[in-house]
Amino acid sequence: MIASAALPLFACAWSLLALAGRALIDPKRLRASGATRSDRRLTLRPIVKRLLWTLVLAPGLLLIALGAWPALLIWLGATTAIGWGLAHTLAPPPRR
Amino acid sequence: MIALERDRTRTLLAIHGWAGVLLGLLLYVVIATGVVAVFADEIGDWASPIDPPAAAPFPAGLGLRIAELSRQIDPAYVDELNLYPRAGGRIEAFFHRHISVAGDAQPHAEGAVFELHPRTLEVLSRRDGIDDEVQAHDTSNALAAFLVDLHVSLHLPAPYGYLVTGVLGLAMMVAAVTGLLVHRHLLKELFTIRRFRDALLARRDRHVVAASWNLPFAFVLAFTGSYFSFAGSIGIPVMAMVAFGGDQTALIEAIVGTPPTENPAPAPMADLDGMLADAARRAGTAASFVSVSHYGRADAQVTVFTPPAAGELISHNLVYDGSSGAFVREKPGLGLVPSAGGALAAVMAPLHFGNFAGLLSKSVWFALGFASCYVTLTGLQLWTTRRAESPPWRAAARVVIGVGYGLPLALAATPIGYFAGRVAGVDRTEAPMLLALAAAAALTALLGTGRVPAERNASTLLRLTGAVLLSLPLLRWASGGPGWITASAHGLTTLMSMDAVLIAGAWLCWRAGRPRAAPTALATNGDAAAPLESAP
Amino acid sequence: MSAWSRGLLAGPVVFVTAATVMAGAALWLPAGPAQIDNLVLPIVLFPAIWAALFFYACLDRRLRRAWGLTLLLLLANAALIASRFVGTPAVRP
Repeated sequence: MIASAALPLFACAWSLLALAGRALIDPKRLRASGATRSDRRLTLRPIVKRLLWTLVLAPGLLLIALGAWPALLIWLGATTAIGWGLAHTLAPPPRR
Repeated sequence: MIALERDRTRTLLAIHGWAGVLLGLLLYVVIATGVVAVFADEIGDWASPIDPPAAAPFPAGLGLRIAELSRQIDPAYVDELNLYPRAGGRIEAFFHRHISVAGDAQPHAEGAVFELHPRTLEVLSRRDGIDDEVQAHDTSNALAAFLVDLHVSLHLPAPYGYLVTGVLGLAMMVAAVTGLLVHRHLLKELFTIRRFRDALLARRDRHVVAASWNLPFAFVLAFTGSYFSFAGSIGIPVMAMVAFGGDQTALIEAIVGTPPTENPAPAPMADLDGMLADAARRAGTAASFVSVSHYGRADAQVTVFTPPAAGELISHNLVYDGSSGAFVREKPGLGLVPSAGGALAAVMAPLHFGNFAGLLSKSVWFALGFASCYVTLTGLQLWTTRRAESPPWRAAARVVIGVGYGLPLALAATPIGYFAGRVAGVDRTEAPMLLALAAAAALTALLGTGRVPAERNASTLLRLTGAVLLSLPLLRWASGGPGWITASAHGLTTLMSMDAVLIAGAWLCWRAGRPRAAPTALATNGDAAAPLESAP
Repeated sequence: MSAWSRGLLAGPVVFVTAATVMAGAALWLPAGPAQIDNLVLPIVLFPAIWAALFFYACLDRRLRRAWGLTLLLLLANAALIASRFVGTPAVRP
């Protein structure tokens, strides 16, 4: 059980980190929450964005290559839930 | 970006909104109860634990015990036998024969159910009758069954309940697909929740972001859910009519796999324990269900079902010769050899229930279901609040808040009815559970009819839900369940974890129930697809 | 008027058509290696059949064509099923 849980958990943790990075430099998110130009410096590079999306999706491709279907489903489900959680957590509070 | 003409987008947006608003509240009920139903087994173990818990689902000596029981009942019932673990690990042995009930095309089972202690194998209860009847008197599993029934059929009679939930599944699928098509900036705005002064606009962003992330699984859950609802209520009856002259049993036998040649000569059953051990060895995991056809006859056949082993998605079906105990074959769930239809049908259950990798996959499915709930509720709130200038929509907005926040309260209150019914010694705990559910609904309605703003009612309902959740571990213990010291000493981990989850849930509800500012109505319509550039 | 017509088509008519296509498919789909594909695939894919017909009925600009095509599917499958009942009693595929 532990061995079979390790693979999807590792994949989820990897994607969580990559997603967090992607969310933090997301240009639209930064613009929407009123970040200054210097905060948005990184977002000017499309290669960084593309690289982070590749990192987010990499565990999925690996799990497909391994044929680890249960782990793939867990990863896919958890990653979408984590993505929503990140977007929700990083959202600016409404203006009063 | 998905390019669509403006009028098509408008049509899709209208379909999205109306599919949601017409069926959204019922859909919300089905999704919310589905979220709870993910943990149906754990809820059963929590509400009716066996102390100390059993080490294996089917202990040694079960075969002999079953043989003994087969001699205690009407011989007419000794034909088919199902064995499966229930709440707390109790083993149910259902000896039955197939019968048809006048006015009902669906085949039924009539027989005797024994509830066995999972360690001592003593008979805890016995119920005789037709399938629905014997299930209704299943007290130990009643709470989980009540919540699952609410999810699959809204407690409506068959087949109407399934038809309703099937249509709701289709509506959810439509909402997901149209949502994808109308929200054209999907990938670019996965993290974009803008900073609005107006809470309604912020809520719109939150709805769109949650829906975008949840989209693939909303589609999967809706598709598989409507498949499960329609398969039994339309698919099987219609197919049986077209291909088997209406004989559903014949259709099911053909789909599952041809049964062995009939030989009604009496013959003693081979060692069931041996077959279970062999199946566990072959599948790499212990059995979760056993089906015996023609028990005690020369043509007896034992099918052992096991859940997926570690790293697998699909369960195992192992067939044994009942009179010799010899292993016959491992077969797919449907058909005797692998096929496209069988493979597709086999992935439906793991995709819908998320039960293929124990608590880990169940937790993920719980989160996905919760996200779907959030999307449905915020969507409904958006649609109604945006039109709140007209009185009927204002009333609808209050109803949405009432159902949205009243339902969790009602679901949390259901175990109160269960424990109260059990303490009072009622035979069918369904009535007190319905009463508790209705009481919570009435309280919600009463709050809703007052002059208090709907948002404040939402806070009150959340806090009440928190209080009820907090009371559940106490009520469980007060109604004769084990306390924490006993539970930890005896290794009742599911019970302890569920209590912890309930307490954590209570805290989260209490926290979420902090009063907030109410959103104002928007004058503009149809702006759910508005891109970021149009933001103030 | 056309909104009602489209509603009627996309609602009950599409649902009945999807159920009829599912039933008819038992007769025209190949049975496959396990001899069950013609029975199982239509049941599993019923939500997809319905969704395809529903979106087509909602989005085709030419409402008459949408009615025509949907009814054609409905009648063709219904006729196939009826021919089986007229010819032989219960047919085991």
